[in-house]
Formats: sequence, structure tokens, C-alpha cells
Amino acid sequence: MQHRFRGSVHSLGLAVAACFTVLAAGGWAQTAPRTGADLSGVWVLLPAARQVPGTITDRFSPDEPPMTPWALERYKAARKGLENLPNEQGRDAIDPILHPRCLMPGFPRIYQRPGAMQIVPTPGLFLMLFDNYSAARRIYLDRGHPEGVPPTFMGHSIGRWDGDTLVTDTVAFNDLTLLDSMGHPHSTDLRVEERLRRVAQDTLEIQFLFEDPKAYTQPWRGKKLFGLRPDWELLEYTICERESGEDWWKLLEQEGLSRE
Amino acid sequence: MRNLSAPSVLELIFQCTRGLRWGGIVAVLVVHWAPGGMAQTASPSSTGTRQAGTQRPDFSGIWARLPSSRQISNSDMFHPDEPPLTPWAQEKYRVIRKGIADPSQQAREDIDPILEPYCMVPGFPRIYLRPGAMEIVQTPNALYMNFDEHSQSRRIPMDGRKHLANAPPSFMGNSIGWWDGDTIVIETVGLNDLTWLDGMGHPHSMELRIDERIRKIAADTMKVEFLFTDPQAFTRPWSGEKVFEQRPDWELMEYVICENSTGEAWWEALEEEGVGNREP
Repeated sequence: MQHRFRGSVHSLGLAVAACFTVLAAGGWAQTAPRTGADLSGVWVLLPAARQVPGTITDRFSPDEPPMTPWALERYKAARKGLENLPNEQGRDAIDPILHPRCLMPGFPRIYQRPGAMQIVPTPGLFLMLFDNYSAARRIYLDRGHPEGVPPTFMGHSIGRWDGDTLVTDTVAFNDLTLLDSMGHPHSTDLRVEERLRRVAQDTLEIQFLFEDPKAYTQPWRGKKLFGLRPDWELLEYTICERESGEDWWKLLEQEGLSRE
Repeated sequence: MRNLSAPSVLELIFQCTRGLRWGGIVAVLVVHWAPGGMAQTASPSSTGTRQAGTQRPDFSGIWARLPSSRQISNSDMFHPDEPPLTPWAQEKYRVIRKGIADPSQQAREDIDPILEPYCMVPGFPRIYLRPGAMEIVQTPNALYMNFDEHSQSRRIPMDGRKHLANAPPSFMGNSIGWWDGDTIVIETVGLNDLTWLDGMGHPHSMELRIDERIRKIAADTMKVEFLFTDPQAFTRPWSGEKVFEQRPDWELMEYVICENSTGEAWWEALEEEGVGNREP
């Protein structure tokens, strides 16, 4: 639509087109975009009992992903001492999101973190907002990945509608996150494809395909289900707020200031 | 559009063309010749609502803060004058600026909550002063402000709801907004005490309340006016402003200030575990 207003279209035709755009755009936030389905709302990850059997919160798949030797070495380090606790999260001591590193969980691990997410579909941009860090994931529906996009925690996402399913493609990750809370690693070559679909009025299914030739010998799949929470609002949650905040106030106290 | 019945389509076309006769053409021509195109629903909505008597501009798109030379103050403050600090805030501010002679310089780095080792998010409103762009996503009943910094987002419901009761204090606070003619008014409360108000180091308490008025002062320029109220930190409310310009060809780019230092620290921890190969 953006390009509709460029170039030399006859002004009157343009004006009528503009009117129709208003009519067509009316209420697009509450209802469905012009193609695809309405995925808007606040969603929360369903408990393990309602996921694919064996898919605990901290995993995308009940099966062990096919790791390369490089990834296996890192995974073993993340699980040293936890060999007999297969459902335990990776070691806190080397978890990038915990104090003192406090790095953001990034995508896709943010899906496994506590808290809700809100989907805001707009015609060219599919927004996913998270409690976690008040972070936003922005999925462009009107363009491809730009050349040379720098690596980030959330990656660069594009999407398109395949019937009632939003198909996304995310690349350009940094190497400062884990793929999941079990401690599965990934490289900057990670590519995540998702298929988002409303499988019931109150249920969102996200299917994942993870590709990362440095970390996994073959692409592997995962799935997560989310439940609609019509009465919820997002609430910001920052995992290190307490520790980093306390440290900061300790410093201020050393300088003779009191918190109250 | 698909769901509209024939009569209502005709009626709406009539209304649209009537609106055009009364001046919509001007707006359409503005859209037509706007360099680089405008946000998707921008001008149609102002054309369409003109006949209804209210003009609601579209703020959607990427915005960059104008350089200091085009603002009333430098990029570390909202107003060139010193805010009316209470003794409580004055004491804090003195410590925060101890040893800094230049009054235009940022506060002490060793005590800055966004820097190492604290690396906390800047929070609102300081995020407005950080490097990088912001994106506004405007829907009929909400406004979303997305920032480069930490890929963070501000949600501003504009559907008549009130502030969340008992929401825990947060870095971004709890915002609600509404239209006042062509201006978006936002009220934000519920901020925690882990941020500074600006890069100068002006402190605030959890009683801080911020009123913003956002309006376009040119087709591609918007002004955000602030009113800061915090009886614990300021003896009276004080105002500030920042001006932003649209950047139609930009995309947001995530920026995490401590990424290098804490990222390195994480890889050092992995090296200590014998997993030192960052590259396979």
C-alpha cells in the first residue's frame, strides 16, 4: 500500500483509492488483517501437560536435537552435574540471562520464559510484545531480509500468510543466547522458521524448524501451544532487576544516599 | 471492504467524494508528492476523518530525534533549565555529578544504572534520549512505541481503560493515552526507582508521573512535550520537549548497550569451562 501513494497516479483515482483504504483499514487492529487469520491478543505458553507429550517448558521438542560435536561439547558443559536430572534447566552458573551477565534471553528462548506475549497484527508489520524486558519482536510482512543486517538478540524476521497460517523466517542472531533453557546452543548461522496458526479459538500453535549447520547436523522441528488470555495486560518483567537494582542501590548507599 | 453491502459502499463513496470536494484533495496531493512515501494508513485516515470534524494524524513509522542544534536542549536533558529539585533530589544529584565540572556533561559513568556492571535498561523517559530510532505503530485503539534500545517497546492503550491497579513498578511504567484533537495525550505512572530521568543524572522517585503531548508540527516532524510531576523529587511540575523527524527508509536496529562487555564476560565463563571455541 505504501507504494500506492508514489508515482504518478491520477489524483482523483488516488483519492478514491485513499477512501477505500480507509474503509478497508477500518478496525484492522481488532479484526483480521486482509489476508490470513486474526492472531491478535494476549497469549501465554500452556503448561507442559498441554504440550506435545514430553515437551517440557524448557524444550521445543521432546527429542534430543541432532547436535554437531561443537554443540554437544557446549551442551555438556551447560548440563555438567545435571546428567541425572533430564528435565532440569541448564546450569545457572553459565546461563547468559542470569546475574551477573543479565543478557536478554533473545529469540526463540523468550517463548519459554515466564510471562505473556501480546500479538498486534498490522498490515505490514506483525508485532509480538513480551512481558520479558518489555521486548518487541517485529516481523515484516512487506519486505525481505536486508543485506548485512547486524546480528541481534531477536534476529531479523520476515513473514507471509499461507492461508490462515503466518509463516515467519528469522535470521541474523548473535551468539549471546541459548536456543532454550535446557542449554542447547546455537551459532550465528541459526535460522528459525515458524508457522503460527490458531488451532482453536483460544489456542495458538507455533511450529518451529531450526536450522543451524554449525550446531545441528540436520534441521529439526519443535512445537509450542499458547492459550488466549482475553483479560490480561502485559506486565514488564526483567529477570535481573532485583540483583542489578540492589547492586546499584548498594553503590548509592556507599556514596551516602538512602533509597527512601 | 469485502463485507460491506452495496448500498453502504455507495454511501461511503459519496461521503468520501464529498469530503474531497471540501478539501480532501489537498491532503491527497500532499500524500501524492510526499518524498519517500508515508506510513501506510497515514494520509488516508486524515483524509477520511476530515469530514468527521476531527483530524487524527498518523504517527506510524520510524522516527529519529533531531540533533541538539534543532532542540531546546542537548540530548541528555529535556529542558535547558535546571529542574526544581527538592532537597532529597538535590542531594542525590550532587553525588551523581560529583567531580563533573562541565554542567553540560553526562553524569558519572561509575554510578550510571545503564552502564556496567549494572547494565539495566534505561527505562522511560530516558529511553527517548538514548541513541537510536523509535518506531510508532498506531492502531485505532492503541499506540506502540518500539525502540532500537534493547528492542524494547512501550504500550499505550487508547481504548478508555484506566491505569492497571496494583501493577508492579517497572522500567517503562504503565501508560494510557487519548486523543485531544490532533494531539495524542499520554499519562504514565508506575515507574520503578532504578532509572534516571535523563543522561544528566536527574533522579526521580516512584511517584513520578509523566504527561506527554505528541503532535505533528510538520508533515514529517513531531514534537513530544513533557510535564514531569514528582513531589518527592521536584518542588513543582516542570516541562520539557523533544522533536523527532520521520525516517521512512529506516528500519529499527536492536542496540544493547552492555552487549559487548557482558557478552564477553559470558564467553569468558564458557572458556573457563573449557568450551572456549566461539566459532565451531
